Amino acid sequence: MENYIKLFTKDYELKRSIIATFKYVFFGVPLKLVFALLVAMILSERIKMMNLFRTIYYLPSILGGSVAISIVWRFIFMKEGIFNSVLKMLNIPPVSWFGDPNLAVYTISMLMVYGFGSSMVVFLAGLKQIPSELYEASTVDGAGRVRQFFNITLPLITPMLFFNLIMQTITAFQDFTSAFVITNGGPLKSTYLMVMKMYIDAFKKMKIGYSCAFSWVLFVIVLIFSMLIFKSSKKWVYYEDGRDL
Amino acid sequence: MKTFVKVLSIMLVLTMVLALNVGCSEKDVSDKEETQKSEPVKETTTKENKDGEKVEMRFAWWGGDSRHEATLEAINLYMKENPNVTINPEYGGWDGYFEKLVTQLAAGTAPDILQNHKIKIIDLYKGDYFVDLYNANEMDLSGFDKNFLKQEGEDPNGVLMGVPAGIQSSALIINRNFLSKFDISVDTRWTWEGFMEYGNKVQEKNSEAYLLAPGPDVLDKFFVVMYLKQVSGGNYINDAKELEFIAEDATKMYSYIKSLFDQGIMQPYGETSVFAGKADQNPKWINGEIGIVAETTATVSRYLVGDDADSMTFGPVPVMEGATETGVYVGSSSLFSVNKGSEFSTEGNKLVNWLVNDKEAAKKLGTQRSIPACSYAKDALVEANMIDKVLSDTIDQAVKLAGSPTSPYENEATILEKRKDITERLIFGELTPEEAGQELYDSMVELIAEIDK
Repeated sequence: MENYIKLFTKDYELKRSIIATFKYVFFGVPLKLVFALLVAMILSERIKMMNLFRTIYYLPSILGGSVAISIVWRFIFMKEGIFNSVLKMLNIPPVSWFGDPNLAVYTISMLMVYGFGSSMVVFLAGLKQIPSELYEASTVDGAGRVRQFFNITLPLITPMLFFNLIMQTITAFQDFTSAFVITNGGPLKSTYLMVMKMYIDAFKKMKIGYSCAFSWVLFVIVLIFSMLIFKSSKKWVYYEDGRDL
Repeated sequence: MKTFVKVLSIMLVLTMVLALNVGCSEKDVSDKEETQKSEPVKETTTKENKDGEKVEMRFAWWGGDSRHEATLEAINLYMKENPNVTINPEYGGWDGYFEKLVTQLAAGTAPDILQNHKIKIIDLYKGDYFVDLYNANEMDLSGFDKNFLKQEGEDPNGVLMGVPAGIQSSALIINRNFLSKFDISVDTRWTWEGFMEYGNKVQEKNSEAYLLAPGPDVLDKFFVVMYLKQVSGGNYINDAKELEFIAEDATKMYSYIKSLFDQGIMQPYGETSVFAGKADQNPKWINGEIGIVAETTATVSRYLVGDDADSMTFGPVPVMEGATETGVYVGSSSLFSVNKGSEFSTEGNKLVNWLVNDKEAAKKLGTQRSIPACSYAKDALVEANMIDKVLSDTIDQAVKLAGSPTSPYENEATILEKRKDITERLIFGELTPEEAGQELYDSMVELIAEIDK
């Protein structure tokens, strides 16, 4: 119990760690899902060599969370990296992607977005299930592509969206590698994700009991968000067989 | 069915609540129950291995590639001389080394022999993980300075947790080509004022070049702590856990640090922080756009990279005129320790003894862990002309200027993290030097009281 009291009253890192994690999750997860859906829609069209493209787009999600890719990410976005070189060619001043406390957490969350492959595959499966007659009928009625997306595609893939949202949110809350390898929690603890705090408390400060207590806090946070998503799903998830959760 | 689900749910919730309280005890990995601690043993504390018995041991160390190659050569030589012994090397970088080791020590799966460091003694000694090398019959400690052994390898209970592999000091690694480009004399004796003066000169000529580029660890060790010690005349925290500076001293130090960044003497913190622990990978250093790096002499070989590799030289760190405490670090580069839980700790002692004393071992290891701390090994390198004269002179100068031995509490994990946090907040403008100075003092008082609780 002392660990919990100390955590909530004396730990100066707790607030920053929670804020960093929330920013990471609430920026990265929606962006990842939007990107995954967009690519899935492109890949659901009938184009030559489609299977090859699907494999290529899935590859990053296999490599995505690895240390090697994190190191590559660091070299891409560091001050002298490729990204800033491209900006320089466009006469845009270089940006300190990892050195600016206001930007660093969003830059590392892009690494999470980069691994969109698994979500894309789930969306692809969902898109394949939508009957083409619905699109044909809507075309006859004069509906454009945008209208079809919002009135046919999106409602019918909400179960897949719900699944991806839950899975990616839970995974994002537990992310560690990118923050540890690239920024080591800085600058100014702006990328000090909760799992990283757990790791440092346990293995650098050697307070394993304290870290264990913090892990329960993370568990409760993930549980609350999962329950909120489940509760809200009754309002926006549409099942064709009409069942409720 | 509904009742069953309800009962099951209640039982699961109760299990979780129980785990919440029971699973998160106060005890840290470095603690052991008082009843389990044994009395200090005067006789040998190692298990006896029979002569000629087949032995297979694991040896872990951190370092750069050149250290790995040298150590592997030494291990191969040892195995050649001792055919019954197989040594499995485990090596990597400094980053993550101790986090992995702590996990292994807690789980009882740590390597048999391992490279250790003085700054970790305060975190590890309570676990009683290492052989007391004072009591190991296989160890010949006659080549070591007794005070140096005590200062570097002993834990607060007087147990010799490790023997120093090398003696190192703080030093400046200087890019001569860079200095020439900016018309700065290579023979400049660097001072704190000199950093400001010449750093501004560099910035005026080229705003993309910087005289200094410390990462978070180097900034803390060589600028924050060392400057503070020189300003205050005290040793930061002494062995009696008393602070030896006041808030005003810390304010002066933070004012200096802030001006180094504000005037562009130091590369922006946001750019160097991604290279924490690997400043040699900073592209600006590799491309010759950084003039000076502060480091310990044991790690200098990592920095001899890039087009200017051959133009590097070394120099002593700045010391204020009239400073009663220089804060100049002279200590062990690393220690060799033997895992007390090892099945082959006798053989482990023999290996460690050979590594630090044997002349052929010294020639294989070279100065990869700085100049050997043992006189027999150092003499072997001097005889074989394997010691860089400039490096050796730099260490000798540092020894003359050496500050008081670093207290083990100075780099205790929570204290170190808090200090770095305050420095970061200062650099990013969240704190003024006055606020930072006061917060450093107040937080150190609070954290010291927490140690050993």
